[in-house]
Amino acid sequence: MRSADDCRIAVFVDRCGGTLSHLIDEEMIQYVSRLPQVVSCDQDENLSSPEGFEMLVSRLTKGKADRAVIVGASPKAYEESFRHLGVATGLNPYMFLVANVREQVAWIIQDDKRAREKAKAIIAKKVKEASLLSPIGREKIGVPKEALVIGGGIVGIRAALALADANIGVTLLTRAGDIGGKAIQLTHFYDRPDDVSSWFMKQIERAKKHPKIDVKTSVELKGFEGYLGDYRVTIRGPLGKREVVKGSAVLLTSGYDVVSNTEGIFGHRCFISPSQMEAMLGDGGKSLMDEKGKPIKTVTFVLDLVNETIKIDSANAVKNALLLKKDHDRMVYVVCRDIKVSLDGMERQYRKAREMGVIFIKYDDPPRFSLVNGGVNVQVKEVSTRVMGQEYTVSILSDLVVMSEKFVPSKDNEMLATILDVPLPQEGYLMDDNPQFTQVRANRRGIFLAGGCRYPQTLDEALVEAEAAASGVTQLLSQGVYEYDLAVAEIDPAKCAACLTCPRVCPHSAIVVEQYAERNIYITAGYEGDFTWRAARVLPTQCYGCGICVSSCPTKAISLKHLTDAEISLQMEG
Amino acid sequence: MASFSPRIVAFCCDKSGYVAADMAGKLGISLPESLDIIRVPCAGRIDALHMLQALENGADGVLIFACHEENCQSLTGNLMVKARMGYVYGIMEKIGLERERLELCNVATNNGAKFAEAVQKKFEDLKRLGPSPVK
Amino acid sequence: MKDRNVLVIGGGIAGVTAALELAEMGIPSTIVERENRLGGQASVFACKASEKCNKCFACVVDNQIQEVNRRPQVKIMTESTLGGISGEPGRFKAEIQSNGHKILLDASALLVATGVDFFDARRKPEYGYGIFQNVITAHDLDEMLRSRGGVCRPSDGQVPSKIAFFQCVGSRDETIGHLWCSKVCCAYALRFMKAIRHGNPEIQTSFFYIDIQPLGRSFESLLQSCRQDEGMRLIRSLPSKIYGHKKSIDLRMRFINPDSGEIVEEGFDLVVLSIGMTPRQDSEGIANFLQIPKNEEGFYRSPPENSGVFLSGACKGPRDIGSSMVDAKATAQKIVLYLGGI
Repeated sequence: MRSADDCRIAVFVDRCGGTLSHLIDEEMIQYVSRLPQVVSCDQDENLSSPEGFEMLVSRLTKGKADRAVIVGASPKAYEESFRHLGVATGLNPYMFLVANVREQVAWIIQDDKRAREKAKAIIAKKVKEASLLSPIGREKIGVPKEALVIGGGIVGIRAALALADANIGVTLLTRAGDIGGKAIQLTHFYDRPDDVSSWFMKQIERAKKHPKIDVKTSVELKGFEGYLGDYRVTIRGPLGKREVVKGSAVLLTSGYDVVSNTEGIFGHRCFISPSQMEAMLGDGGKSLMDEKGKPIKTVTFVLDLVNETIKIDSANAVKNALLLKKDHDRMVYVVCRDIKVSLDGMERQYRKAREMGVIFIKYDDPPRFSLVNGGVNVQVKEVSTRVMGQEYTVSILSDLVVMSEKFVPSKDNEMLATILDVPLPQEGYLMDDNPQFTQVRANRRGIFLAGGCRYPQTLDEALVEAEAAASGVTQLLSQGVYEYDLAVAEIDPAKCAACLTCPRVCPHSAIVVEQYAERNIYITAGYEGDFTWRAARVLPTQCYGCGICVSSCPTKAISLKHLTDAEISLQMEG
Repeated sequence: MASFSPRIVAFCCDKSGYVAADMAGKLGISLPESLDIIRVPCAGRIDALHMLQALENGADGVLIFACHEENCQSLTGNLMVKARMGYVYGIMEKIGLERERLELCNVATNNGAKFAEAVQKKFEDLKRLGPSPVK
Repeated sequence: MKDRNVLVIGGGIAGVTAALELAEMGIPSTIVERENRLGGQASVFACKASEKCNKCFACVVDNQIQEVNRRPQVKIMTESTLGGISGEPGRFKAEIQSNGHKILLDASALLVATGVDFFDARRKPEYGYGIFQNVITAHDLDEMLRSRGGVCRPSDGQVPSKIAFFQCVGSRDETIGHLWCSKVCCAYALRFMKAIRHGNPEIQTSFFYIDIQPLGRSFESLLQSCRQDEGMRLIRSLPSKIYGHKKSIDLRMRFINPDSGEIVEEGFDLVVLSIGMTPRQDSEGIANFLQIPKNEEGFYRSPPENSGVFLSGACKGPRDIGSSMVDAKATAQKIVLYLGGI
């Protein structure tokens, strides 16, 4: 057990290439050298240079110090070097502290003399704090090259292929009877002439035939547990049999749902959905006629009554309007609030559509619909007709009206969020929209998500996310082992009352409660029972070291190895 | 009173506040030397106890720099500390400490100017308020 | 595993993100960056938070730059340019000009992440940029907010009372042959308005647009919140000209009042031009040299598979930071597959 007397601190002063020269003088060096427990004080012009590093290593291996304080710039400039220093000197990388006297003293205090006084105060505190440091170990776990993909739509398929091609074994799970999902309804791409069906079929075939992909259809998720390197999903197959599938990492690609409005007038056969329009255009226009065999002449696309801030319907409307005009010479109207052209090449397509005679009508007030002569009268107040306080209503007599179906979160999201313990914000899509997670990363280490389960996106955008998420998985699995520092939270089971506060507050789902402890301090005196107690345990691979559990624990059973309460209290001293 | 230089303890979350403090330095903005910066991995690490301890140990004011809401790398750290501050405000009221002596400021890594502005404003406010009664 | 090394041309957010991803997969890379700092266009973007984060991703760029500086597997060469490439797919030899020295590098794959230029607002002289001091671009506003924390009029340093945001400057404009949407401008202008009004609630802002383009998952709540804010007006009409003089704090413009349909004239004391993105001029040489195909707008299209040349980020077409990062990660995966997997 280390005591204050055992510490031997080596101080290194970084002149930061001259930027700190006005702060560091002989008096400063003397002051630092005379601080309690300081055994050496060296300076260097540039500690981060190879020469500076050499000097550090030399001093620490030959000298008697068991910990070091660096006086210089922001700690962030040195922390990566500590790992290498640790290897070179045998000193644990966590036995270093940095006194930030450049960014947070020299650069904010104009008066040199007062800056020096402040620097001395900070250095003295850091030296004192150094006596509280303790070494922190490093561990590793094996991460077999296996991953789980939950969701068998095109996004899941693409992710599975990206992983499998990189030599990672993939188990692809889907609730449906086959893989393919919703995007299979597309009959044309908006930005390239390739045939969609054959492109899709190729992806599906490749996934089914890939030696590293195991497709499991008609499965239900029954349970989920584990951590990076050892995630275990319990599934129930179509015949009721339960099975546990394993993976080092998990990719969620469970998609979204659509809800149509077929109430009242919208149930009439003249109102169709965008996917029905796709299908009609997919068969070469043969179905572009009504049930009496008369050809459909006027098609109106109505946008933005739902899905106002999603680009999918808009892109498909422009694409199909062009096809209706170009290949089938129909009258086409697009009624919308705003024309969404924020996709590569879409502005040109929109202009082309206009040039070819597609009429775009913008509204502020939602259009009204009525049935007239077997067709639909769409009445819109066109915004550009507002002149001198007057407004004109345009009536479009349509044979067919294409109404958007509202995109909604998948009804499975609640179940998925509960089973996988990922956040489910109010809008109902998975995972918080927090920029720090760069779209594809979930809050739990080893879990990623992509595509519509996060938010309804166009096919192109979703496919890029699929590969990005696959990249996240590939990184974690690339070395075959995952190495991590034990700079994480640690729970003392003897003090844990299993109140379940910490698993609930941990944002990374890194705490489990298990039967593994022998005794705790709450057992009444004289009790001679024989069984193991439940206590909370931090999964070190999953912990990000934020310390939220540490400050939430009512009995102070949790500590953060690299920043204890004692270290914080010391920094507060006046 | 004329030469009273309020001591401010600033808890800075490693992911936002601390980097913003560095950026304030890079922008060359002048800050009071009675500012003490304490680095924590996440604002959620800050306990109600720490806030009260800081005031007990001679701080005239405590500033907590946490990430903007919906931008915390630990998702809820900034909300946790905000909730705990509510509890501490209750205690402060009971013991007669002015509410202005504890404040939360949301910053991002690139909010160096905002960090400096928050510190300077608190410094002026505390000068008017006077030294902490618990010192 | 054969010796793998990737040459990343361009140290903006896409290049930096790709290098980080590759490093995590055990593949070293070298970033060659023309400027003296990493981060590209986004390195000067300001945080646009109001009462909460507005998802502009500017801070994420700073974080990524910090991260990449800590990775020994990523070699960073700033103030450096690519002199030439020879060799064949999988075995490239690059010549790099760095601080006056010529450095030779071997690379198994090339990643072009050269990004975009921002539209030069002087090409729209009717807006008076460069003539009227109080007509600035969004880029100028970013720099102002990042270094000063608040908005002010360049002419006298005072806080403005009425700010106008002009959308589609340099985008969707056939008079200059720019037939594309830059995708990010509606969102960034709305975020600017929120951030500015959060700091100074007395400032009135007006947003002049053609069509509002959504961006990202949180756009809906951003737009709703702007629509409900009485200090923000969203006006579907783009003034064609700004009238004023050099230090004018009364910049006048005419537009169609959306409620009445009448033409009205109003004055503002600060105008922000929401400039779009254009294909980058100074990377033409590299693109031609590597025979990177281009689309109609001049942005890059993917080179043939197995050429060993990859693209990432806005050089492929305007995109926001989040999409560039996701694209960079996807490209890193493609590169790993090209180099034989893990």
